Amino acid sequence: MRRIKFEVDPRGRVKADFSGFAGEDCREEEEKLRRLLAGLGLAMATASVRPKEPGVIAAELGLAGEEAGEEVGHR
Amino acid sequence: MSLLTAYSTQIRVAPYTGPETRSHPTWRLLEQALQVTAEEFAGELKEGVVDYYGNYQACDFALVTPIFPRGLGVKVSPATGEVRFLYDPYGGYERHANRLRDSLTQNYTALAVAEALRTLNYEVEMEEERIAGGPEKRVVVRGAL
Repeated sequence: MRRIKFEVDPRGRVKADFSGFAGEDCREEEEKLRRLLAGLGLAMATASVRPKEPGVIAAELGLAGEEAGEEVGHR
Repeated sequence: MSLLTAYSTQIRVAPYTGPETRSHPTWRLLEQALQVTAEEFAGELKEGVVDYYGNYQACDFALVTPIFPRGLGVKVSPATGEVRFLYDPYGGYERHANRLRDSLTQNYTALAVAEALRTLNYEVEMEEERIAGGPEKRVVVRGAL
């Protein structure tokens, strides 16, 4: 499941946490949201962007074992 | 890839071109944000503010509350849609006026984010969290798809 969490602070600044996105889907979704928000009168200037660690992304997508390079199977 | 992103924001509504402008989505959001802010501060929406001397000034919207009875006026630039605030802080009202202005900006931002997420078919939840040690709040908007 894709989840986006926005935190709006008392000055109207926003932090966004995109989770459950694979590949570049996240950036595309972020761009769609920015366009929609501009149409709703809210211009958003990016202050910082931090991609999540591969292990975190894998866990969000339910791929923890494969992404971390762990062997899966029986011996 | 998943991201953690921070943004600064600026509100700019549709420039006023006539009475029909008030039904534009950006004006409806602005009015909705003002209503939410008015409820938070036990205030009400008016059409103008007064200064220290009691002189009245008409605005596009005005928010009058018990802590700032002169009112916080909102005027939209007819040329650019820029949202400007009009108020008289004389006599120690600067802090109250700033709180109302910031709360309005915060509520507008949260409502816009929620509406954008719904447009993309996300299920949306909104909640408010008090920030420890003060009267301010943080608004959390969650979308799931």
